[in-house]
Amino acid sequence: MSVLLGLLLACGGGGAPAPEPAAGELPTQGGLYRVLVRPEPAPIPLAQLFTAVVQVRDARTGALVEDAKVKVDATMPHHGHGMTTKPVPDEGVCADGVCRHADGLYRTEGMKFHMPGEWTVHVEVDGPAGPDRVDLVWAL
Amino acid sequence: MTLGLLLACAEPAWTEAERAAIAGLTPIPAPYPRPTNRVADDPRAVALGARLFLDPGFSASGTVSCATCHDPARHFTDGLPRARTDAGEGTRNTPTIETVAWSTWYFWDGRADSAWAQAGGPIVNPIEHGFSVEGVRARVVERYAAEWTELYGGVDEDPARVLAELGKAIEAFERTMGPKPGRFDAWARELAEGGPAMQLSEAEQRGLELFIGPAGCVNCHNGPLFTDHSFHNLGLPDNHDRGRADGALTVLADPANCLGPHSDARTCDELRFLDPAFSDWPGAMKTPSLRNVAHTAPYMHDGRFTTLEEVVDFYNLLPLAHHLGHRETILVPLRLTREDRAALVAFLGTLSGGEPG
Repeated sequence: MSVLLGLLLACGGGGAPAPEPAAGELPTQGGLYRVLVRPEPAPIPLAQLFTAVVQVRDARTGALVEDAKVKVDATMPHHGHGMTTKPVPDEGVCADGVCRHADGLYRTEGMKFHMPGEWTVHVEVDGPAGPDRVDLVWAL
Repeated sequence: MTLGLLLACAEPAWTEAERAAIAGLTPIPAPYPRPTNRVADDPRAVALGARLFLDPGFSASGTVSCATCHDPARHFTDGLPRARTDAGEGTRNTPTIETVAWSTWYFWDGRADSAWAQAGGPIVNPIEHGFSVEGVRARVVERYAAEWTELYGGVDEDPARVLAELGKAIEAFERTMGPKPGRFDAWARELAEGGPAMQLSEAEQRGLELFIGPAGCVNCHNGPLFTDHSFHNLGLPDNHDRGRADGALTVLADPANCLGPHSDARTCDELRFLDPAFSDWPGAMKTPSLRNVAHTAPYMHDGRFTTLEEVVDFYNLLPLAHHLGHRETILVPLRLTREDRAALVAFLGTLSGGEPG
C-alpha cells in the first residue's frame, strides 16, 4: 500500500492540474520549476554591475520554492566568452542548516554585461524536486 | 531652393536604431562619484593636486613630475610610443588621464582600482619617478605640511598613507581635466532636437555610420566616453604582454585597493565581483577612450601605431600573426574601402574638444 501511494504521489496522484504560469514565467528544461527572471535595475546598464532576481515556483503545484539553491551566469555565445565578473547568490535566511528565500526570490549580485549584444542567461535551480535549469536571452 | 532641397537630401537618413546609438554617445556626463576618496571634489585638494602634479621633487632625480609623461599640452600624453624618463623606458604607452573621472580601472592592465592608487604607482616605479614612500613623506613634511594638516589633519607617520593622500589630491585635480565636448556632441544634440545637424561633413557622418554600424567600433568604444571601461585582446601581432590577466590579480592583492586601509569606501563591489580567471583576460588591455584621440598618438598599449590611419588599417585586415591569448571573437576584418577608412578617421576627429591642458 505504501509503495502504491508513493507511486501515485510521484505520478501526480490525480491532484489538481498545475496552475497557469504567470506572465513572463519560463518552465525549466526538465519541467520541474517555473522561474521569473528579471534584472535590477532594469533596463540593464551597459558595463555596470546589476543584480539578477529569480523567483522560483514548483511547476506542479505552483507553490513558491523558498529553500532551493539558485545559480545565475551569463555568456555571449556569438562572442565565445562569459562575464568578467563572478556573480554571488544571496544566501537567504539560514537556520538549522536550511536557508530560506522569502517569496521564492533569489538575488544574484555582481552580474555585468560589458558588451552590447545578445547575452544568454543561464539559471540553475536545485530545489526539493531536483536540479533543473533554463536559459534565456537578454539583448543589450 | 532646389539647391537647398538637394543639400537636405544629401544628409544620411538616420534610422531610429542609429539615432538611439548616437544618443548613447553623448553628452559627457558629470564626473562619477568617488567613494574611495573623500577629498575627490574638495577645491583645496584640487589646488594641492595641481601643485603636486607638477612637482619634480617627488622623484629620485628631481626632474620627473607627473606632467613629464602626462603633458598638459598634449592632452596629458607624451607623444612617445612607450613612456620614457631619465631613469628608463617602460613597455607601455602613456595613456591620457583626461578620463580618469569616469574610469573603473586604471593602467592599461587595470592593476589599480582608483585614480589615487594609480597616481602613486609611477612615483615608486624605479623607471619612472624612482622615488620611495619615505621620500614622499619627507617631502610632504618639508613642503606641504600646512596643506596636509588642512586637508587630512596632519602628516601621518605611515608613509604609505601619505602616498595615498598625495594620490587623492592628484585625483581631485585630474577630475577637473575632463575632455570638452567636440563637434560630434553639438551635432548629435541638434540631430536629437530635429535641427539641421549640418556641422559634420559627409565623410564624418559616413564615419559615424560605420562606427555605430558595420565597423562595430561601438561594441567596445561605447558610452559618452567611447569606452566600455573593460579589457579586450585585439590579437596584436607579436604581443606578449599578459595585460589584464596580471592586472586583475595585482589589483585584488593591492593594499592600496578599494578594500585597503587607505580607502574611504565602505563597499567595493567592482573588486568584490571581479573574476581574475576570466577566459579572455590574457593579452587583454583596457579599452581607451576615444575623446581627443586625434591628439594622443601613438596608439595601442605599446604605441605601435603612429597614426589613426594605421589603427584603422589594422582593424581592416586583422593580420593573422602570433599573439598572446586569443583575439576577441567578434573582431573580423572590416575590409573597408580607402574612402570609408578615411571617413572613420574623419569621424574620430569630431571627438576633439577644447584646447589641451
